[in-house]
Amino acid sequence: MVFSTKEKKELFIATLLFISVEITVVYPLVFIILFSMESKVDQIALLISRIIILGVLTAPLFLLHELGHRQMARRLGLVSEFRLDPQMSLLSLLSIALPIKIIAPGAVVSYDSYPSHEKSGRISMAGPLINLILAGIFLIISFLLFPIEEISLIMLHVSRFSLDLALFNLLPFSILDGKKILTWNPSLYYVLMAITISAWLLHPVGILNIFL
Amino acid sequence: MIHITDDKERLVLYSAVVILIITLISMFLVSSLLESEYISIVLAVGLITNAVVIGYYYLFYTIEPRLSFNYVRGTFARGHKKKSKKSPLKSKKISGRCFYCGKKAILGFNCSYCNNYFCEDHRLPEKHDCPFLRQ
Repeated sequence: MVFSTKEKKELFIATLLFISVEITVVYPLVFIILFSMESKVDQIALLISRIIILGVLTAPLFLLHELGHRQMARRLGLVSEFRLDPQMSLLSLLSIALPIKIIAPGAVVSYDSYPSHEKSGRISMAGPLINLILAGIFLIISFLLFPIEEISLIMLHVSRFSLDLALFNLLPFSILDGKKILTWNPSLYYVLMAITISAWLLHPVGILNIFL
Repeated sequence: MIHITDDKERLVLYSAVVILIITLISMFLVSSLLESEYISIVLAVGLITNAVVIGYYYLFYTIEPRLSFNYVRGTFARGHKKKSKKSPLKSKKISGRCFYCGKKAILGFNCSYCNNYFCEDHRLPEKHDCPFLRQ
């Protein structure tokens, strides 16, 4: 896999933005504790270690998603790299403080002299599929580490987050991946949505899991 | 609405649906017969199998890999850089009409070559016959 210098820098910044916004989603409490007057040192150390673990574990979700798009575009013969979008990066940075989080700092862009719905559809499909596979892998790790309760729970939440990303990217709106797959191949889109939505609802951290 | 090109694609999509149904049924069976933590492994196996089946067919089997640009390092990044006098953080229009099709676009896109405002379908230069493409 070839990375240019500019792309390495942009991927690094994008991953940092993603990790920081995701941490604020999961642990808003840490900000209350860190800035309160009566904070205890060992509680802070535990929270910080959890933040680091969570940040490190969720970085591959975003990175592999974008790399999946990029490798698929290259496999189709297109020159493609990851690029940051300045306005969306600023929005992601501001999302750290805002209640509504938007994490889309950039996208994989490619030179294509003969664009087609089929190529766009195939490239867009690669990302959510990788997120589904990663969700499955983290579920298996969580099951294998079941005796160690805390790490097992963290893995469960990471896999749930991967499913959230896959579902969000598969929504059929504007520039998201779902719209591109829908314009290329509607039957495939319905199957993918059925898989993702049922996994999302019946996941151990999910909404309908009380029925299981 | 449903368009399936050939029998192999029909086979792949039907087997994806079958795997999904088997996974859901086994999750219910496992949760009632065994302890409920085993449902996570059933779900994981079903998810991975489905994603691999669909991914293998659409991303590997049906395309021939063309020579990718792996042998040409960094040409995309070191391409011709035009230094524009405007700052990169231009103010973004919230809504307006697409310059190409006239549809009202909320949070549309400015073309970086001709600087007109487009909807999401016509934001690429090829899609709106950008005059700068002819150069």
